[in-house]
Amino acid sequence: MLQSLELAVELFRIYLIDESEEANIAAIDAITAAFSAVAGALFYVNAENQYRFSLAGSQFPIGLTEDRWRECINDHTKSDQIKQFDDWAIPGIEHPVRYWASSPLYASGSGNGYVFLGKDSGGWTDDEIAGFHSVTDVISEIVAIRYKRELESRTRREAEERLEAIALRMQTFFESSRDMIYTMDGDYRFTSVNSAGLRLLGVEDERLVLGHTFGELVENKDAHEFFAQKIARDGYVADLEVVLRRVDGVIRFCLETSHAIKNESGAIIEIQGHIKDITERIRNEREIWQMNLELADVNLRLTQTQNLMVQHEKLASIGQLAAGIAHEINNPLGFLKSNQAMLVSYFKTIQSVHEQVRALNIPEREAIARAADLEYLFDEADHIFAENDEGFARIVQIISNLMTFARMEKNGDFEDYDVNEGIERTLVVAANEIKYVADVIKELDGVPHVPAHGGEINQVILNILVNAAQAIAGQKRTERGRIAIKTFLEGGYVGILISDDGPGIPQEIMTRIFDPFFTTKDPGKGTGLGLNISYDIIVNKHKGRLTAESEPGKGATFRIELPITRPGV
Amino acid sequence: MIDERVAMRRTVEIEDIQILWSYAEPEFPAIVVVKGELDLKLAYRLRAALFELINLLSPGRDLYVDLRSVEYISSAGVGILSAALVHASERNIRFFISTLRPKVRSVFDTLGLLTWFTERDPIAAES
Repeated sequence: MLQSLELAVELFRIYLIDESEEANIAAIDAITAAFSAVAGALFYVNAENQYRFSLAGSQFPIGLTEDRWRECINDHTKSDQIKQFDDWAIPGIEHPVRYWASSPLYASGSGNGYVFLGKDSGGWTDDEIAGFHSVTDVISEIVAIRYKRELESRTRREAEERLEAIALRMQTFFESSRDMIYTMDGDYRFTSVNSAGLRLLGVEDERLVLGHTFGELVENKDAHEFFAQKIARDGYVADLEVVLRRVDGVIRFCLETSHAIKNESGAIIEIQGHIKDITERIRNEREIWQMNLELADVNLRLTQTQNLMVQHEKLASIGQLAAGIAHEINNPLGFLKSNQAMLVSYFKTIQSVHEQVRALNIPEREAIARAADLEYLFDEADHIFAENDEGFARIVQIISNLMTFARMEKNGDFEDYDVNEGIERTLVVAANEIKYVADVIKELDGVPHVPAHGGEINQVILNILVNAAQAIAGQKRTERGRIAIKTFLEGGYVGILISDDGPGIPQEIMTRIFDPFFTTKDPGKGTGLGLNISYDIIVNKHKGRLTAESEPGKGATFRIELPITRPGV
Repeated sequence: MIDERVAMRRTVEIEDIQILWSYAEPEFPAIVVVKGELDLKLAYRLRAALFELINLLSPGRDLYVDLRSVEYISSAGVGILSAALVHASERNIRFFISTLRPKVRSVFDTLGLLTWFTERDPIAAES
């Protein structure tokens, strides 16, 4: 018993001073010596799950395959008590030993270890078996603790290795990412940034970034303001576009995805984010948008120009047609007028002859003259000739107006244009539109001639007059309307005011009346180009001014102003 | 008569997009009001709404996109407004955007597309 106690103390000492596996050899040496055995071995499975045994008198623990190890154990041990058997040789020892006793280790009975002792003579006494039992109890506790510690150590080492591998992987991912990866503290100050982030920010040394906010690193200080609001509100941002204007003037379009880590009280302690530079993509998209806008603009201008040209052409054609017809009428009118003059002259001769015959006092003459009512006929003929003359004069005037109204300036140069004469001629052309709905009040001052394309200015006046007449007619009112035309000279411009007392122009469309295709007329009644062409003629071609005023319900006033000297000459 | 015309006005709301237009009143412009964040997701909804509206409006009408309540716009938002401007131009519809908040304006400006747009605030018709 004392011997067992001494052995137990010795075993404690061995395992206390030596934490390595070699302590097992020292332990089995001590046990073998204490029981005067010739052979001793300690079989065990270590924390690395290796099948091993330590042989008394050897220098190093020995490894076995699991099969070989189990082969030794299965036939020569019991899981819960000491087993005695004879004539067996430990693997690697050639000479068999006569009397063996084996004992399982570990109080748990896990079967992870066994002590074998062999004697050549005398066999095992009951006392020895009891002592062996006590010793294995002691050693199994120690070995179990060591095994547990080894296992913990191994688990910790493995966890550390795993952590190291993860850290290495994360570090590689962080550093080799082509996108910016960063972390920030709760004050939005950078705590880490990878090299892609430094490149994106245009900075070489990370010390210039760490501890700073985004706003401190870029020119547009508020670049990250919306990000901060969203992070504070939602705890994350996903694919948020951020435009960074760097201090070197480079603009980068970025796509940011980040999330905040908060503490228990909800305060942000870290922000982890990822920023992708999408500048190239945006640049390409922008080129496409820009190209489409340019194409649409060119297309719009082409369409507008085409429509204007068609309308100009149409007006010019109508003018030319009118001028052509007027010219054609002018020729027969010439000989009609001439014939009329001849007829008047012939008639005067006849009248004179008649007077001479009457002086002869021929009795039959009185009867014939009375019967034919010659006095009355001569009086009526004078009236008819006078009316004819007036009619011819009016036709001549209309023809002259038509021919002048639509004349096309052959060389495109401005001519001397008499504004008052232009108004008079245009009123003749517009007479049919106006005469049934409105009276025209003229107040034409003696104004100087202006350099202009007369035909075009007449078109503008005609357009405004016809619009006024149609607006009045559209009211379907009982009393006649009033159109006032006034000319004046003011500040180097000859002005024409054309006012009507029609319905006026609603305020909300006032800014649009000169726009192309804007019309309030029913479909088919107006092209929406009349005032636009007028504007083009007065403002663009003649460098004049065309404005409109209106008080709804009280009519509209258009003001045309033409410079009295040729612009740019 | 006036009541009938007013009755032809329409209002539709889809998430942060509100559309107001009238069939009967040429002087009453179509208005699309956008609120909040004009990000990629909302931009595609806006595209659908604008294109449908442009196809619906008769030529010569005005279309306003009111961005006064937009606090953030992505490049996709600007791109879609550009595409809508092109489509409106093809349909002879005048396209305006409201005055922009400085941050939103700077995105238009940075993209070099601001000059294509006419900024004019819509005046809603009296109901």
